[in-house]
Amino acid sequence: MAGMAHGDDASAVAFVRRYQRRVFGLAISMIGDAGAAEDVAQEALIRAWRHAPVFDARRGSVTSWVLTITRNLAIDALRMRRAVPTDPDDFVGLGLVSGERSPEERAVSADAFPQVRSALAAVPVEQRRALVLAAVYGRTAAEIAESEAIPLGTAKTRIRAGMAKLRTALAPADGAPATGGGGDER
Amino acid sequence: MTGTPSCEEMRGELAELALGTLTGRERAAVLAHLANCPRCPAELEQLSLAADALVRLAPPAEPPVGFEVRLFDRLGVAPLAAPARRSVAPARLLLAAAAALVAVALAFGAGWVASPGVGTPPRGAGGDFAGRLASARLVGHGPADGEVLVYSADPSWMFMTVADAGRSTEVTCELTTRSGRTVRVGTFWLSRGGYGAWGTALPVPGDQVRSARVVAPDGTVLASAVLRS
Repeated sequence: MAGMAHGDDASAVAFVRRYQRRVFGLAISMIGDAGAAEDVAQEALIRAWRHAPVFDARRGSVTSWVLTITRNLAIDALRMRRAVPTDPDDFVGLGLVSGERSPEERAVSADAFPQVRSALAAVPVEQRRALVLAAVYGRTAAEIAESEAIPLGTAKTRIRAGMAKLRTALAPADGAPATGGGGDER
Repeated sequence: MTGTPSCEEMRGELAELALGTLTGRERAAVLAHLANCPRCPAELEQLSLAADALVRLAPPAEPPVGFEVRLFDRLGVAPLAAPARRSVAPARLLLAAAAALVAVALAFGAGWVASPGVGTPPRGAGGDFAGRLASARLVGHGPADGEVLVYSADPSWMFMTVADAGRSTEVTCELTTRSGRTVRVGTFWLSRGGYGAWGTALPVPGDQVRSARVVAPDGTVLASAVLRS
């Protein structure tokens, strides 16, 4: 990240090549359309690069920051296109079966992935759907209630119960920093 | 407020705050609680990490052809400033480049620096590579990495790439032979960001090379590799 603040070409190239597969992977997983996913991925990488000087490493990892930018742009793209997002089960399923990651990518997410995978496997499917719709697609409880055809209270219960299970599964054992979003470069 | 029922009751709200699903009024109520609670901010951080982890589940995917070109154009990054893409450049491409370049080197009898589209394969470089070629990944003692190829022929030659060494400087390539002798085979420049590609004919038989090192002027070993056949 040091080179990001300097804005030199070589650093830009290194930054893009480090994150482009993660960014495009999230965009295509959420949107499902390669053209729209490319638009989102390009815009996300450009925004991340241009805002790098104000990135605060104390607030989280670079990967999470870049992916959050990507997620927000993908949500906007889905809303603008009035498109139906990828089914939450498919999104989770894709993540669970992915084995096509390079060593670099495995290093980036080495701590998070197996833990999240096993934690999600233990969450009931209806809670998992609600979690993914909220965390990935930015749906409110009311929107989830509508799309899942369930009462608002039920949607909230599913979100909260699912989140509690996930948080407990990813929690540090004795006050040590959690690994759910950490373990990568800052 | 630590451990009080109000904190326990706030757990669900915190989960939704971490996920960003609260309405404005609900959000305001939770933020008011957080401002006066010594315990819940830490809980919110853990919940936020869990929410982030969900987003990270998406598997990486290769962007469409031309993605980089279009992106670098929008970023105003000159294509020539973009070094070879290590993650998708198989060893055979590196080898092909090396084979093309070695002809130039042999013609001029000295080290050479990579440039595209020149040369033909050298003597002994066509067809029978098996058993003559040793390769290894350069492992950085810092962030640097790269690759080394050593080809045993008459003369033997080597080619190496360096990436992400973090500085623009002249570097020295040193080899260690199987007998333990250190041989300084030449110098080359790393461009801005620490990228470079370089090759030379060797003063020792290629099959006697055990390891290679890239050394900065101050003696720092930027990267090293142990050759395998």
